[in-house]
Amino acid sequence: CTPRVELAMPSEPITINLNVKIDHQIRVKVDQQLDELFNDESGLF
Amino acid sequence: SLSLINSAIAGSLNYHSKLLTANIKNGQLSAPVLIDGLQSYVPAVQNWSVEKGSINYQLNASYNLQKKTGYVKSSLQGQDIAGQKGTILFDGLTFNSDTDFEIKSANVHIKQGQQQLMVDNLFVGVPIQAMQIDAHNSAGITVIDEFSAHLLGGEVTLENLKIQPQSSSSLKLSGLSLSEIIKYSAYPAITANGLLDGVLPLTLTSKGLNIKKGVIFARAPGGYIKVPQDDVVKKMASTHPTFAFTLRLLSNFQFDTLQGKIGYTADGEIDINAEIHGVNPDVSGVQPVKFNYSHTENMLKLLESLRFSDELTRQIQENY
Amino acid sequence: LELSDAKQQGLVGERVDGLLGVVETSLEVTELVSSINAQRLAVYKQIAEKNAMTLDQVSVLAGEKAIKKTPKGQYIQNTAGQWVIK
Repeated sequence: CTPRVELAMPSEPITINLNVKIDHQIRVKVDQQLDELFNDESGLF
Repeated sequence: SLSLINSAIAGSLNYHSKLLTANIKNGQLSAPVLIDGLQSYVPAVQNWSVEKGSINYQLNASYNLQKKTGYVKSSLQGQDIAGQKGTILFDGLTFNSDTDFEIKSANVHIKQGQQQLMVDNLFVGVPIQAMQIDAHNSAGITVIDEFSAHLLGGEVTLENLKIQPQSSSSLKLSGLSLSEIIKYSAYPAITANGLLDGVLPLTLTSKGLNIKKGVIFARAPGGYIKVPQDDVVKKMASTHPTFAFTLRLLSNFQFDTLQGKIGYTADGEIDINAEIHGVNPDVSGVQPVKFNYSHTENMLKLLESLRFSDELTRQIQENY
Repeated sequence: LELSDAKQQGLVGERVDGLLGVVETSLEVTELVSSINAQRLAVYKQIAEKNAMTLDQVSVLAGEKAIKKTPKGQYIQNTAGQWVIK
């Protein structure tokens, strides 16, 4: 007999999770720290 | 300054048996002159700069000095006004405002009015076209009858929102393009396809607007999300094996349904929970994949940083 | 040579990567630029560590800030890398 190839639909789906948190705070904090660098007193600007 | 504005105001003012009446048939002012003149007097206008546009106005008023009552009927039309407020750019702004004020001794309040604002192009970090707001004032309350705007490849509309705390309405999204949204996100390298519709119930609070239980969903037949397997992704995948599999699945994720819940608070915080069903033909063949994506971000800060980087590029380009 | 004089005389300018660039080369200018850049990089590394960012990310933000705060009439580097007067 010929082997019967059965293509069974895989029942349960693969579940993937992705949680993204964008924190613009970093940008604000870094902004302030860079402000301190780029002013007249710092001697570097 | 103000003297420039005074010279432009011409009209008739007469006084007859305790009745003061004023009538200005059709005055016209240049918008840049007006805004420039008001700058040192009106703090709210300080970070405005208007390059072009004109304002026509008609006004008639009457005030009974004895009874200390009166009215002012004003009609204003703004045409083709362009400029910026801080880093927010606008052009092709026109407005029509017909307002009747009532004066009782010292206080003036709006009896009724019709307001309309149209802006061809508004840039808030994301370009918005053809924005239109129709509103009316009655019994001291302003009501937005209709709001519509085109952005992100689709349209956003809103109807019947009273401008007072606790009033509510709902924002309708139609045909927003997933790829346009991603273009302005933190991952512009992702390519995507698909149109989103949605309904976002909103309520006004003293601090601004809140959205609760907003829903968005992809229009049939769905679309795709392709996260490029670039070095940033590879580096992240190398350190987190389970994450590697997720990223591989997202390299060519063909989805047929997308359902999302959206919340937004007046301080700008948005949180999205989306459930996306699809397959990655290259990886899991026909096996269905359920992708749960949650996203939190401060939208106001996102828009601010988009405006900031846009202004920077413009500044650099302008200089050579 | 003082940094502020070098800037006013157009000998140096601010680059997109947050570092100082040489516009008119001379021994004095190149020494000044390398000393300033060394100090700036030390600060950028510190900021990067404190905010879980990479040095490149901080440098790009620094570049944006430096160019935005450069007064008119001084040199800045444009996106094509050429020196232009703001």
